[in-house]
Amino acid sequence: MKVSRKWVWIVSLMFVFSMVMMGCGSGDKNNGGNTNQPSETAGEGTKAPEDKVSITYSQWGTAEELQRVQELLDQFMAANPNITVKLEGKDWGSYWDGLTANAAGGTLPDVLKTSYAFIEKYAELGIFKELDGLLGSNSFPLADVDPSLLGLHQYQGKQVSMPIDANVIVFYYNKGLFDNPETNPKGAVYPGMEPTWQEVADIATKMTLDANNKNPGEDGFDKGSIKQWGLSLVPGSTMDWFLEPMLWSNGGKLINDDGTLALDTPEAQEVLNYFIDMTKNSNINTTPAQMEGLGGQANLGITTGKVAMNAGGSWNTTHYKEAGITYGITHLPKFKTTQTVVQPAGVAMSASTKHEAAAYKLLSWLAGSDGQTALAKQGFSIPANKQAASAYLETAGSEFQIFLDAQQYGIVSPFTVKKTDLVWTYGEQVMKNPLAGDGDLAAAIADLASKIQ
Amino acid sequence: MISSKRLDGWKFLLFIAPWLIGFTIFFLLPFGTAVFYAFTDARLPGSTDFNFIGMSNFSTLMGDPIFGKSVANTIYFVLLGVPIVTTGMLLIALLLNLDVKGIALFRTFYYLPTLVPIVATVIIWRLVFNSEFGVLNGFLGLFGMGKVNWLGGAGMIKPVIILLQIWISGSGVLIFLAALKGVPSHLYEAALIDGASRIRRFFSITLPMISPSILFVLVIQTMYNFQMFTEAMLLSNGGPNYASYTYVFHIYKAAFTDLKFSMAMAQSIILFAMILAVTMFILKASNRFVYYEGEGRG
Amino acid sequence: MNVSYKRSKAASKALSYILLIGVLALFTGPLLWMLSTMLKTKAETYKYPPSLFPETVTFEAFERLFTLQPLMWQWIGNSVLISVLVALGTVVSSSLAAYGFARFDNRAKNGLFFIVLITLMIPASVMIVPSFVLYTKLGWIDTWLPLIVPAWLGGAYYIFLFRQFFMTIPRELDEATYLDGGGRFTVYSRIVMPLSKPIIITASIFAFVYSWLDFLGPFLYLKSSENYTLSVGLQFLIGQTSQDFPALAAGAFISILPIGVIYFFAQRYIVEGVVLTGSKG
Repeated sequence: MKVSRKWVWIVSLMFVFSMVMMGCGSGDKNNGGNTNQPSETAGEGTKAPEDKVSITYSQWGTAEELQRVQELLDQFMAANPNITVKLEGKDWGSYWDGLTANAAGGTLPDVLKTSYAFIEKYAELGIFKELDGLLGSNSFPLADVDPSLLGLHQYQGKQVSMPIDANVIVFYYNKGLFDNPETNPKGAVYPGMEPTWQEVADIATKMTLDANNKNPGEDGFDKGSIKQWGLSLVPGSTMDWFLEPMLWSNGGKLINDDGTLALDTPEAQEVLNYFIDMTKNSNINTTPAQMEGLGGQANLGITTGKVAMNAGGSWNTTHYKEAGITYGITHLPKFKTTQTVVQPAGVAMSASTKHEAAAYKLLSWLAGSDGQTALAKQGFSIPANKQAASAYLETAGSEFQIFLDAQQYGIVSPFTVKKTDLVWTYGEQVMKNPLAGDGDLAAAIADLASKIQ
Repeated sequence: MISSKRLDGWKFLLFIAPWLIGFTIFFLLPFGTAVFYAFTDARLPGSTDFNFIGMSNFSTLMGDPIFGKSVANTIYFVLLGVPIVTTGMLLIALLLNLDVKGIALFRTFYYLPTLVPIVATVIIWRLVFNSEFGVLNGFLGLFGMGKVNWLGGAGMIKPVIILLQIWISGSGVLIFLAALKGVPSHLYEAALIDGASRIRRFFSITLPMISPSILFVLVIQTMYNFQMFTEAMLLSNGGPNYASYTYVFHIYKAAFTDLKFSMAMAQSIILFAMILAVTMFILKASNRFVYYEGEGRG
Repeated sequence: MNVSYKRSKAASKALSYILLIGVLALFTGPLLWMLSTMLKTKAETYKYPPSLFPETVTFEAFERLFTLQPLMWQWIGNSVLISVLVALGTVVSSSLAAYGFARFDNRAKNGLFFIVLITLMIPASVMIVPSFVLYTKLGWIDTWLPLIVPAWLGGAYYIFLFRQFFMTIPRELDEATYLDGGGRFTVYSRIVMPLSKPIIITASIFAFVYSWLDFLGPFLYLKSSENYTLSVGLQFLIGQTSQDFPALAAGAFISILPIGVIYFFAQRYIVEGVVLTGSKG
């Protein structure tokens, strides 16, 4: 008997020991969802909470982008000393899968960044808190935000997310490459402010060089030894922010009003074939394989110093500055009309947050005039709140006026769950290579059409 | 006496308690969960918001072309990949078993890639196989070959993944090396006296003597390839056009991207059954060719 | 005859070396390319044809890596801590269970050990999403618990490894202990374990290495970046700086370094571990 008791002791000690060890790994979790902190009610939110509260904010981004977010959060914490915000930075590729895992695991961040493209898909699961009540009781000045932006962050007529920026897609060129005779032996000029594709293709032809500095179309041009490309576009994997406005520019569409795929119209076909031709036959645009070789991100092509022009978001100026590129900006090239996409990101609250008051404080700060002005002053994002527009222009100066001008060219094409899946799940797999002339386009379109039925 | 025997029984249970608890919590419970959820329509992992829908997850899967592709790709990696990788391991082991000067130096390195974290392996392979600036295409360019689209073309990605598996196959090579060392040298001496050729010696002595190891490696590699996921996800994200989209990748996507958790559970159960069946088949079939020393035919 | 024999022998030797060098190139070539890339400037990695060696050797990539990702050090620390705890837990729990299976005479023993062997055959990834559900219920998501606790509850593979070794320790030693009044645990702690040092070292190295290499577990269970292990951190890095080849290569290099050092010092034990399970499995 004595022996056996000793046994129980040893084994239980062992387990206690192991549990304690484990505790070290997760001891300082203060928002794990399974902690027993008393939850605050919205009513208390109107007066500053007495106790110190710690909440999490989750957002995607590159290292530079996350650093700027941290700066914003530092300002928020300075203004709200009772609230500590912990930033959970992710990369875009794993952000949404991670959110699913968090939702399942009860570890959703209190406040999280949203993209209008994913609102419906995740709102369906009920993971976002409905904000109408909170916004109303705290009298958030909704009039400061454009109704169309607000609309993109609603689910079934209810506000589930607040837009914080009005990022827009434009067209960039690497001035350094144009200005240097070694990389621009044919003396190509910068593209104009609202260039046509014909104009851009001509420039791209001059800026595409093989090992012997020959351009495509010249005698002896060797497409196997291209050392500099005019363009880096991968329409198949950038369907929402590049291909769709280009289809609209030619009078076509990506998706019909009834939700079916609209890529078989003559207008759409013309656009698709134009990109195929530029990539496969004219060799003035990177193939997906070449893009992969350059790091895989079409909107960062010019940062490699190997690409003259690419389409990109207003947020990409961060990356170009980081890479030391002097760049110029124009509107997206047009087939018939100038078009672009406004991509309002937003912030939402977790439906299961235990710190509702603090979370709302952060959300309303980020979406309100203070946070939006702070964001605007950083000069890398276009604020969604009108109160911050002047601050943005002051900081950004005339250089970024184009981002505001571009808003008027934005297409109106809201996201449904099907469109989210089409663009982010199937499109890249099915369309990437065919839109570069590698594979059967008609078959790919038929395949895609069947997937979103 | 009886009580002491019973006491000893309790002690036995106490000793194996960690495993018993672990087996119950980390195997039986999740397995039960998987079976349970496979017949529901739960969207989030572990969701309590679901209905029982009978077999419809299974019938939906049968009509899902992407599921079909994931099955086909996985079968490719099992039927083609496993024999190629196993043969590769064996050839490398034979080579490293040669009795030449400096062989110890060569032997030091083959295991190193096996110890590289898979994400680092993928980083390295993307650098090597980079179609524009990678060392491999640079090397082939010396012989006048054009740039090969290793990772982005539907044709090359599966062979590249199989090659990657050979790169990290150090454990299998190690097992074969040990088995080769264990072949009694008197058998070779007798064969030499009989004047058997090198190839003959390999097929009539070496191969039968190391057949238990071959079986072991074959089973492990088959199970591994059935479950391939990380390589395909990180190297090519399942693409292009689902060319490297594996079965387990589809499970992951269903559970975390497509918000169809119950579907992922149905897929897990099918996979479990498939692996079980194939493993049993290999073990059964092996009775015919695996030679166990001292037991005659096993 | 003698001459031609010699000649053919020399030829086969030359062929052997050619093949050996080919295999060596396959195994070390990609690693060397990683070393070369991490010492280059960013611009040089966008050059065709690629240069085999850096034109000027620079460590800028490491600077960029640690500025971009100051958490690198923490990830290394996390990985070390998790792997050490896993190794410790594996040795303690698996050796206990293995002792049970090796030394007791119990009716249930054979049946249970058969189950151990069966679980060796269970595909891990079939269990990984269902296990995720379990961890969500336990509130273990975004903690290290899912990575460490299972190791403290015995692994089939290691139980098998220990049992095989314990079987080779003569039972006479046990009997002597019983005569001196020692019990089961005395035998385990005073006799069996001290005699099992080689297998303890092998098992702990193995458990450490496999925990270090694990990607899928940390990838699914860890959600905030300061909890990441090096493997998941590296994947995060790919998403953040996919164009900075030297920094990525530097990150890969750092993740290999600790294991590489262990390998060169403890090669013998790793070899033994694989062989023990492989040849007897």
